[in-house]
Amino acid sequence: MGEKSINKITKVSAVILTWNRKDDLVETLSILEKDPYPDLEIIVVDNNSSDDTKETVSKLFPDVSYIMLKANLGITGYNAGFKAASGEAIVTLDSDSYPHKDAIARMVAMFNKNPDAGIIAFDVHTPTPKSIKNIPEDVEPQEVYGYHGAGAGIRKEVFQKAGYWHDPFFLYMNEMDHAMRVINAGYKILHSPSVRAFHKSSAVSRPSRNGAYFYLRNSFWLVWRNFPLAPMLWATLQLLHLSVRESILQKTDVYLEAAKDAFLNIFQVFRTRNPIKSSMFKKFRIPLNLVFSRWE
Amino acid sequence: MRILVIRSSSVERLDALMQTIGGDDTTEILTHPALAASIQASYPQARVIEYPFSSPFEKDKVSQIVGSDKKYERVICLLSNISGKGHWNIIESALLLTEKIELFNINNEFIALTANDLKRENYRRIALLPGIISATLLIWVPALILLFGALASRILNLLLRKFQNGNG
Repeated sequence: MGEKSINKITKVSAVILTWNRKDDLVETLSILEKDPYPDLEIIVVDNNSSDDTKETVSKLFPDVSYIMLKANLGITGYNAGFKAASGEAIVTLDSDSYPHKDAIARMVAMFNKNPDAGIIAFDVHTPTPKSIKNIPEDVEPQEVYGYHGAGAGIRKEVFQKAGYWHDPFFLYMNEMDHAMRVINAGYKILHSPSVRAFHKSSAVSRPSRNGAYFYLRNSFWLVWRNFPLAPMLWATLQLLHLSVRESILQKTDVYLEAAKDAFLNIFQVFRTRNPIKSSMFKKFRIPLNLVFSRWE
Repeated sequence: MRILVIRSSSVERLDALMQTIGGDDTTEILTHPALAASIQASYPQARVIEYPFSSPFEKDKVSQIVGSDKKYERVICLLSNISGKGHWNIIESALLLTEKIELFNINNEFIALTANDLKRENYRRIALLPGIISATLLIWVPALILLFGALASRILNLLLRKFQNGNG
């Protein structure tokens, strides 16, 4: 039986995580400050930036709640913001993402019309003239099985029932892990192209081990935490085979390092195992081979 | 000029590509159904083709859906990285449709690939296959031991908790 909320959404808390991205953050806050939604709280969680982000934000946006952490804790920072939020719904944003001016109001309407919705997955785009202009109105939402942390609305009560983002992940895969838990708790995730957010892309990207490492390590943990038994065994074998194959083909050791670190923590991860019901699992589409496209 | 885009990365990458190439009305975009409505809304002039499978793009299915009669002047695949490594299934799918394809990377650069590049890579993969299979089998054994150990430990913990709750 699905989970239905009795809580009507009126207040919304926007939670933004930042780490040494002052200029992007200032742009996002400037846009949020003008958001027409009347009851919007803005919370910035700082993963211990070493620049003057805090001083700049405090000066330019005195109404923003600022939580400064003592170290860079990755996605744990978001959890600090979620726990501090006083709104009935939370909008998660990156420091370089922001909602379209109508997105929050449309999200609230969608939550209040669909009491079994735990998450509204925003339609996340790069801001270009066409993606900014061509936003349809009133498109009925459809059920989806994942969401993007750069733009999503989460009903606050969902965290009590499905838990917060899993701290040990640090970076990547936390949204898919959470999506599985939320759906297993009986909620739906809805998506409509009418509820849009924009995520700026970097000017230039450089090869990075972090992306490939965290995507793969966390994929193992995602599988062990959430997949039913037989798919869990099969997916583990597949991931191991792909780790070996792609390490040889792509001439890198990052996949083997990620697999090794995943297995080093296997007992701790299994203590948090709560497999999703098989009927729900069939609806997810988790292409595990995609994590091997993050290297270089 | 007819262009096919295979949406093998995020919608954000698609936006960056469409901004670069323009010309929506000559562009067809192959995508999984969940994002078709969003893409069509942003690019009303483009033709969105749905890939009606839950699996990642596979070469036989892509050519079945799109048609393999080489009707496109450009076939562009979106990358989630700089080099294109790890995207081989997409590259193979695209090279069934035309002799030369382009990859659009996260630095918004185009990388050209041809059918000869595909042949060379396939020979390389065949040569490396025995090593890959041997290494995989070697790694599976200790991994499965650890996996079953962790599963057994979890089951024991749950049983213990149940027993304690029953006695408590």
